[in-house]
Amino acid sequence: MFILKPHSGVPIYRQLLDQIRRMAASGHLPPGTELPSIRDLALKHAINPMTVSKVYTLLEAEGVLERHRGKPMTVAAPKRAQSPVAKRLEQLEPHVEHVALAARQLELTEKDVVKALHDSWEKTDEQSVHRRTRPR
Amino acid sequence: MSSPYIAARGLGKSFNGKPVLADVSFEVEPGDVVGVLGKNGAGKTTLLELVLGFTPATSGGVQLFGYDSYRLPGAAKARIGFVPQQDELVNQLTAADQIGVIASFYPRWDDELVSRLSREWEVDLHQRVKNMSVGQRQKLSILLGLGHKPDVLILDEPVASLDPVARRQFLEQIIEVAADGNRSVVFSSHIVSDVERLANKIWILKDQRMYWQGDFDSLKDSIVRLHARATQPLPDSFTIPNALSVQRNGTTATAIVQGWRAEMHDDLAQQLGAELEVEQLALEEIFLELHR
Amino acid sequence: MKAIARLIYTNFTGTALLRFITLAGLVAGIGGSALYLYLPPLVGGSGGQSRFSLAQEAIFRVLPIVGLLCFVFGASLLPTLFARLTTSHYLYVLPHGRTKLLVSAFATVALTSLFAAGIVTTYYFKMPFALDLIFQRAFAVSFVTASFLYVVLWLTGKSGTIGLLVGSFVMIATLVLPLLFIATPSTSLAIPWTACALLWTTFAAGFLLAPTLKAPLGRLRQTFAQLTGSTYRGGGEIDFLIGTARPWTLAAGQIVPIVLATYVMRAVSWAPLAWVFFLTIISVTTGAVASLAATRGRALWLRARWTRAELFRHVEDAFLRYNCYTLGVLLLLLVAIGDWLALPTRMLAFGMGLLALGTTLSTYVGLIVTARIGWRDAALAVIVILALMRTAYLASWPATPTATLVAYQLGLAALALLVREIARRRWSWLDWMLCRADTSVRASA
Repeated sequence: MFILKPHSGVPIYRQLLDQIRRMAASGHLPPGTELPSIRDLALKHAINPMTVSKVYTLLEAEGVLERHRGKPMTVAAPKRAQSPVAKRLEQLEPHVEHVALAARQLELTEKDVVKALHDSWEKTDEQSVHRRTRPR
Repeated sequence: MSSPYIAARGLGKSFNGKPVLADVSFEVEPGDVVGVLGKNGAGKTTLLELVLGFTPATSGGVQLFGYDSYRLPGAAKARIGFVPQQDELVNQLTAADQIGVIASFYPRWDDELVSRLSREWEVDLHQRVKNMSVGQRQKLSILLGLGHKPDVLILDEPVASLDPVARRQFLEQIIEVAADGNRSVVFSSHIVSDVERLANKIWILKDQRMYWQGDFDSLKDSIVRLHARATQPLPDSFTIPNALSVQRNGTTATAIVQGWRAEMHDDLAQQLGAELEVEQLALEEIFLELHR
Repeated sequence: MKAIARLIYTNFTGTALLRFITLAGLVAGIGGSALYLYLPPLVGGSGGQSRFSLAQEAIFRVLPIVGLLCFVFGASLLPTLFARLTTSHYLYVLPHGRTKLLVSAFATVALTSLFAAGIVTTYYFKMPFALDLIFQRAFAVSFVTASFLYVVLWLTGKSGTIGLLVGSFVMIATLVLPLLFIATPSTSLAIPWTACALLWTTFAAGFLLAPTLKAPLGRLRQTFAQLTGSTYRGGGEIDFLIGTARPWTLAAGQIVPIVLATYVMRAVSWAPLAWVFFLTIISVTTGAVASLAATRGRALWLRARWTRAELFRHVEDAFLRYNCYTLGVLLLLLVAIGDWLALPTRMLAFGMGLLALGTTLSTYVGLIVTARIGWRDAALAVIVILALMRTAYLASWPATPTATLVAYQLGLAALALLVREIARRRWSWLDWMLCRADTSVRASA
């Protein structure tokens, strides 16, 4: 379900956190989907169960996941209306920064970048969102 | 928050006047998996031996379940498990007998767990210990530490002689132990990738002292590699605060910085007049950089 | 309790061979005693009527003792198990580990002593002695002897299986003592019981207090090692790697048991034969060190420019040099004590030859061990020791003609050359995969 790389510089918990968030936001993990138990996920990826627990707790606090007594965690219904644009932009920020930095290295102008973004925006639609986020 | 299983204050050990460990303090809570890293001779084994009460501390003290570890009572010993660096098995016995002898000391012993693991790990219980390969012996030693389901499991380089398959099986078993939530694991290992997967706390021993200890995720966030790029060649007086090492090359510089926080980015970029890129490091690289 | 029982059980049955020996011992001991008790009195060729032939009667007489010996050997895992657990970290981590281990050792020795006492008592069953007194005396003496014997087994067992064989024969030799002691009912029981109590109290105290004593003892050991330790001299590499670098330790170490044994024998029951036996056994202990030479030789072979044949010659030289010290001390003791006790000159003369032969023979037998010890090697070792014993017996018997003694010693010399040839051949095609070092064996300087 997830791709985790324990030896990258990014802490495992952050990788998992980002992935679940993105997949929930994109709809790839529809609301009501059951997530593996802490133990199962930890065993599958050979990582510390506390890490998984930490991520689940954080996401529960954020409202992305729901906890049910005696049953696995599930993806919560998206409360997108309540999540302000600013917050969602915050999630996008690292990617935007990356694009800006790359563009500057390539000595492109702001207009070039905006155009490229516009083209890319046109190409993507609902279906390709799902196709791109499905793990290979 | 329940009281910690292991607690040490100012722990120190000297041998023949030479300090082997100095002024070490830490706590291990139930559910922790602590990875102990350090170069050879940094004091890892001594630290573990002090925790288990094999040897008395020269200064300070360490407590297991609230008892002074050197005088640990018998009932408390049933809650700890130890896997030594070099196996201490009796060569003449079969694996089953070896297990039987050790198991007889404990009030609870999970036979089912041990036999299941010996099957999965391919340890032939009817084989004599002296005919086993080093890897088999190490696996057997690990089984001896797991069978009584200890609350605190201490392992000194447990996987040094295991092939990758066996190592992964061992990792999975430690995860099972950790998933319990009420059991702790402390293990020292040179195989940093294993520590990276398993540990939620890291202790780094350097020069007989606790150089860094704490939450593993914060270690990864705290030590980063900065890449600075300026349009002008960087001045000679170019300094980066909290840098462990800096390498300059004309208009670029690379530095390993400790204690990094995301908020520092903009200020530092402005201060240096350069663009900064933050690269997060894998544990092995962190370890190497700290010892450069 | 579970642990103590398990440890005792493992002491007797830890390996397949031991399990068999223990069982055989029980059957022979109990069966033999039962036979002895319920058969009509054996008259043993003293002219009376008997249903059985002399040979059969001899078997009946000896069977219980053989059973006893087997039972005692059956627990020979005790010293190894005890030593291994003691030097491991497990002793600190296992709940009440130290106490339980100690109690299990005590109980094992007590069990073998009970068995020994029972068997000895059956021999006196049909005689007009107070059986409970006999039993007590036998138990007390057996207990001390067994404790001592297991210590000996431990010391010799550390040097591999040949050492174990040697130790076993030490046991046989010293088992003669207690049986002699029991036969003289006038001696009081106080001595063995006191010895028992002292031995075990000291041992238990030392053992249980070992963690606290570790630091000062460690310092003591370090000072001792510094004083007696071998410093590296150019050209002494062989000695370091083979284990012959400290000849004085073994040489001097022989003095104490010999002097002690002499004193005890003089005090209790003097028999020149037993004394010569004892010395011969001591002379054979070098074989234990030699038996490890092959496994240790691997390191040497890697580093020196020798072929296997040359390696053998160098190792042989190292051991012959080493033996000079131990043999020298032995000969000195033989002559000094023998002279003081006014033993016949002929016995001393042949005794010297015997000790020299014992040392040399055992060294070569040790060098034969180039793979797992098979029954052939064990048989050879047994033959060698029996031959030495026989010669010792003859040498202490004034009636033996000198020519016979000379013949025996020449025979032993020939045997030595034969064994040497076997060892030489084996070393020329040494396969180190077959004689892998036990991980508990470390090359000691």
